[in-house]
This record gives sequence, C-alpha cells and structure tokens, in this order.
Amino acid sequence: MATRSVPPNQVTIRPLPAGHVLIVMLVALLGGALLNAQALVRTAERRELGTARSVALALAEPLASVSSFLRIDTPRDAIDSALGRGVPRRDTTTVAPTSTTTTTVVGSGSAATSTTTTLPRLRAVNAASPLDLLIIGDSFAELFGPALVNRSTDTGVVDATVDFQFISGLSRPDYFDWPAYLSSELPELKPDAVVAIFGGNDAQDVALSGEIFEIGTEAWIDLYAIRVAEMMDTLLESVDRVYWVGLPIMESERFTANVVMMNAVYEAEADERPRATYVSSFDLFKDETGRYNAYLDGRHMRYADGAHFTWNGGYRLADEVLPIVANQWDFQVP
Amino acid sequence: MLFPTITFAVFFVVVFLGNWFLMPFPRHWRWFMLAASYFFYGFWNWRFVGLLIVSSLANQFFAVRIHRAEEQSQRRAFVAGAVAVNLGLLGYFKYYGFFIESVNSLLETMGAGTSLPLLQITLPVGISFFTFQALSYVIDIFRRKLEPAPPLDFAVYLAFFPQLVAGPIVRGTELLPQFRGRRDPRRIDASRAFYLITIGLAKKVVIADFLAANLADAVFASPGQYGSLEILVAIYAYSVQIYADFSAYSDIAIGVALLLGFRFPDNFNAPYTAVSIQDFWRRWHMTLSRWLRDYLYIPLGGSRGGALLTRRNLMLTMLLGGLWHGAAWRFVIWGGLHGLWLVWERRREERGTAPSLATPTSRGLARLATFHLVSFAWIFFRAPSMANAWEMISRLFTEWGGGVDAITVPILLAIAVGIGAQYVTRPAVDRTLAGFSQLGPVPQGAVLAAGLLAIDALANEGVAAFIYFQF
Repeated sequence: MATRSVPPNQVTIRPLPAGHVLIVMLVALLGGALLNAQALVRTAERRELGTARSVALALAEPLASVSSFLRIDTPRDAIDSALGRGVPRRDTTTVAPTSTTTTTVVGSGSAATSTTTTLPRLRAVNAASPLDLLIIGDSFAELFGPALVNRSTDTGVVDATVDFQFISGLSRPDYFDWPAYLSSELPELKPDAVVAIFGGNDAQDVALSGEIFEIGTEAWIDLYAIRVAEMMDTLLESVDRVYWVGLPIMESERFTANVVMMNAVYEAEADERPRATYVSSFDLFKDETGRYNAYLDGRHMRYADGAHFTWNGGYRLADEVLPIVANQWDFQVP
Repeated sequence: MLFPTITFAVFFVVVFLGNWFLMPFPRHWRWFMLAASYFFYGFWNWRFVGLLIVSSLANQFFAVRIHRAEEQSQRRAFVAGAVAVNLGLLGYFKYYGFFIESVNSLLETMGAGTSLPLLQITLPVGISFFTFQALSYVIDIFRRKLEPAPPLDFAVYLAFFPQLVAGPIVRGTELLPQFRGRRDPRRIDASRAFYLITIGLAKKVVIADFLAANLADAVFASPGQYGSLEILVAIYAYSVQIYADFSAYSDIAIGVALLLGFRFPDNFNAPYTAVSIQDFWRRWHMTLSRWLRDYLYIPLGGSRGGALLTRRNLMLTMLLGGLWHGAAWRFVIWGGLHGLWLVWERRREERGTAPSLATPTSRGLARLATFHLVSFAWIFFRAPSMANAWEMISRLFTEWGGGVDAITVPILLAIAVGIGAQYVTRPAVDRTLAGFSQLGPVPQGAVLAAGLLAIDALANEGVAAFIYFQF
C-alpha cells in the first residue's frame, strides 16, 4: 500500500469525531456560561419584563450561584474591575410613587412651549465663547444627535456633543441609571444646555419593590413622571436650559399610543420647570394625511423598524430644535 | 439570529445533533436542514421566508427549463428570464427607494412639478447574497457546468443558514455535490472550525464593535467636531472595523459549516497585506470578486477586446460591484475609485512601468500605498452622506491644529492588532491547531471557555449587527 510522504515541516491537525466535538462544545458553552455567569444575569435583567426574561433569569441565576460558590466568577470579576466595569445599582424604591394620585394625560402638542418669560438673561454666546450644548438620549439620539451637532457647528457659536446609550431609558434605572450617570458627568462637562430625547425603550412594565407597574396604568404614569422629573431636576442643577424633545409618531399604533402618553408626561413636567422647554416632534413626522410615513417630502425619514430616524429624519428634527435653542440664546441659524 | 448570541449557540447544538444523526437518512436530513435554515432566517422576519421560498421555486423552474430546452434561443430566453426575475426582486427590495429618490431629485432640478411615489419597503436581510447564489446556479446550468439539482437540494443550498445572510457566496458547483456525498462523522475538521469561530467572535465583538463605538461612528457622523489626526485615525479605525466585522462573519460561517461537515471557499486572505489594488481584490471578499469576474467581467468581454474595452469592462464591473454593496451614489463612487485604480495599474503593467516588488522595502511601500488607497475609498463607503465624505476629506488636510482627544491607546492598540494579525502566517496557525487537536475533549472545551470569557469580558455590552447584513 502506498503511503503519502509528509514534508518534515508540515504539521498534522487531527480530525475529530462528532461525539468528541459535541463534548467540546458542551464543555465550552457550560464553562463559558459559568465564567461569565454574572454578566449573563445582568443581560437577562435588562430584558423587558415577561416570559423570556423570566426564563433567562431562571437559567442564569442558578449558574451565577454555582459560579460564585465555586469562585469560577473570579477571573471575570478581576477583568471587570481592571476595566472599570460593573454597573452600580441603586435602591430604586426611593423614587416609587407614594400615593395613587392621578395624572391627567393631555394630548401631545405640535408647537414648542416656551417658558422663559420670567427668567434671568442668558449669557451671550459667540465664536470666542460658544454655547456648550450636550445632546443625550437613547437610540433616538443616535442620528438625531450628530445631525444636531452638525447643524450646530454650522452656526459657528455652538459647541455640541452627543452622549447617547443604546437600549437605555428612564423606566429601568436598574439597567442604566441616567440621573446617577449625569450627576458624575455634568460637573466635568459643564454644558450650558442639554437637549434630551428619551422614551424609545421606556414603554414597558416596571418591577419595583415586588410590585409590577403595568404600562398604561395611572400608577405607571405616576412612576414615569417621577423618573422624568428626577432627570429634569438633575439636569437643571447643572445647566441653564433643558430642551426635552418628545417622540415622533410611530408606525405601530400601539407604540404611538404609548408615545402620546409619554409625551404628555414630558410636556407636563417641562411646564412645571421654567428653565425646561418641551419640543414636540410628533406632528413633524406625520404626512399630509396625518399618518405615519417613512417618507416625507420625497425623503426617507424613518428606518424599516417604523421608529428610528434615518439621517434625513435626524436633520428634520434638528432643524426644528436648533431654532428654538437659538431663539433663547440669541444667535442666528444659517 | 446573530452568530455571537446564546440563542445561536443553543440553536447550533440542536442543529449539530440533527445534522449528524440524520446524515444516514438523506431525505430527512434535507428537510431538517431546510427547516433549521428557514427558522434561522425567520428569526429576523418570518415574512421573508416566503421570499426565499419564492426565489427557490422560481430559480428551480428556470433551471429545469434551461436544462430541458433544446434550442439555444430557448435556453437564452429562460436564462434571461431568470436574470430578470432575480434582478427584479433585488431591484424592488433594495434599489426602488434609491431609484425613485434619484429620479425625483432630477425632476426637481429640472423644475418638473411631479414626483414618483415612494413606498415603504423593508430590505430582506441577505437578499444580495442569496440572489447572487441563485444567479450563479442558473447561469452555471446555462453554461452546462451544472445540472439542475433536485428541488429539495436546491432549496437547502439557497437557504443553507451558515452563509445565507452575509456569505461567503458559495456556488452550486461547490456545495450541491457535498449534499450528495457522504460526510465522515469520525473526521470533522473541528480544530480549524473552533479556531475560525473563536477568532471570528473576537474580531467582531472585541475589535470591530469597539472601534465603531469608540471612534469611527462618532467621527464619520460629525467630522466637523474633529481635527485632522482624529479623522485620519478614524479612517484607519474604520478600515480595520469593516475588515474585522465582515471577515468575522465569514470565519464563523466557514467554521460552522466545517462542524457540519461542509467546506466553504475562503473569503478573506489578509487583505491589508496586499501590494496592489488588484492584489487586494484577490484577498478581499474573494467569493464576490470571482462572482463578478465570472458572471459580469468575462461576459462583458473581459480582457479579450483590447485595452480600451478591457478598461471599460473593469470600470463597469467595479461600478456595479459598488452598487451591489448599497443603494447610494457613495457606493458607486467607492466602486468607481477601485475601478480607476485597477485601470491605472493595468496600464502601468502594459507599459512596463509597474514598480518592482523585489525588495522587502518596495513591498512594504507598496503595501502602505495600497492600504491608504483602500482606506481613502472606505470614506465614501462609510460616510452617511456625500457631504460628510467631502467634509472628512477636507478636514483630513486642513485641521492639523485640531484636537487629538478622541485618540486613545486602546483604539491605537485595536487598530494595530487588526492590521498586525494579518501578518500571522498560516503555518503558525496550523502548528497551534495541531497542538490543540491532540488535546482531549475537556481540555479543548476549557480552552474555548477561556476564550469565551476573554471575548465577553472585553466586548462592548450588546451585539451590533454585522455591517454586511445591510447588503
């Protein structure tokens, strides 16, 4: 029988049988899950309340217990510490509503509401001393933020920056705590004003102190109003003006109903704070028939998810927001 | 369903078991793999599974007709019909909005008061890839390189989940015979598969997503905020990001297929070590390059019609290749730049003025120049608009007094690793794999678990979709 000669520098990679491969995969997946168990729990906790989250937690939490007991999570903890990671938790019970008072939901307006009549004069902004504008939010700020930055740059008197976090919001401070994050960031950044857009991920049930706040109920609206108020107050402690941008009409009727509800909360809370301005985007993204349309004025405005802005959409909203900022800070928009 | 998720890991273990247990029963295996692939695709949007079924039925219809037709004119008519149907589907889903917006813009410029209606069309994930695979199948049958496969085989080929949404573009001549052959469950090239999957995961979630989130996305979105050096590093970062992202998907796809007993063609071969643009296209998205060569460039006449026609064919191929990547003029410019450089290189070769690459220095300089030309073209590929692209280019040369705050050591490190890793030689990898393959299953699993620990710990939170999904 002829044998094939193997060159001396050629190595042989041994093929493996399927059973062997299956064991390798299972050991790798189980080992990987144990080593990353705490991160798996964090990922599961971030999901919306519901069956999928419950199942994910039911699988991840026992793994985390075993991992912790056997100290298998030590390497991951060490890496997280070295990288400065790990999300500080806060006791969210401090912001739970204490009564069942009702909040009247008003319709979303289409015009900006200015509340600056009795306020002290804002400082002059110019090229030498530009307005420091911080744009924050969830994924709705992903393209709206840079669009507003670019439009702001064109004025020559605004220095704008964006800080958005995907899948964040105000409903779930256990996942990402915006007020806590901003309390540490704002003293360093020292912006003059903030443009905020939230709500993309907020229309979900919330668990708090063992109680479930179902989306759409008065209790949920009360809780959400407290969260929005806390956020506005945190911002107003550090900046002169807050511009809170409401969400636009969505393709989904259900999401739109939630948007109307959340926009009413933003508007009501902004109205209570003289240095806060609510800017509605709801009607800005309706077509001539008054309905949602991904295309407006011949341009593609919204992505296929029926929610997020394209670049055109981002610029459309930026062109609505910037004149309101310019009007209060007394500069020209080209 | 994204590869770097727990959902996919669970899905794959089930598919792995079904794949090998059902292998002795070919008919059951085919139905099982088809169902698994439709489930994988339907995870994004179930409605598009219908599109995949329609594409399978239509292309199989044309394939059989082409094969049975006796007259060449009939064969031509059927293949033309197949091309029209495939490009029609692709055009409707991918290019309708681009076409109508361009026409409306033209009408507006001309002062015409009318505009064509825009429709809300969702782009099915991976349509560009499976359309090209279907086209290669019917054209190969027309060219008598392939006979029509049984309908079930073809449906599995078109939907086969490892390469369905972002390639490699595997031809029927490569994969269909593997469906009919017997795979040996005792001899799986698993060490290479695990290596490709692990490296792919690391490239995607550690390098690509990190560079996108920490520099490239922000600079390309608002270049007016950044100085020249920051823009230059962001361009390098995107060059590495797109390579790490796209090659990661190919690596994982090839690795997953290997574990199921199938071999896919390579799709990347250290593209940033290329010494010319021609060399780059032999190393970058290789399955697309050869598709464009065999089904576009050569049918256009290739290099058979003299220098002028060859240049025209090169330019057309690269312009259409650019448009394949995205429905925007920026992609056409990207393809056009590559076309121009290819024409220029060919002209130098014809005149004998191409630089010698005999010395390490000359090869190093050629690599550096090629990398920078490729990176320059990526500006048009990545920028969200032409205005942004021009602003990037303008500020690249005019803002050298600008800031450098956005450039951090981890970003430079990620760029260096992304480029440096391409110089790791195949024998060095093979030696490592040979050592790995000698280990028992538990130590091998432990090594991979350690890899998963490192990847997950170093990753950004959450998983971004692969860039090439949009194409």
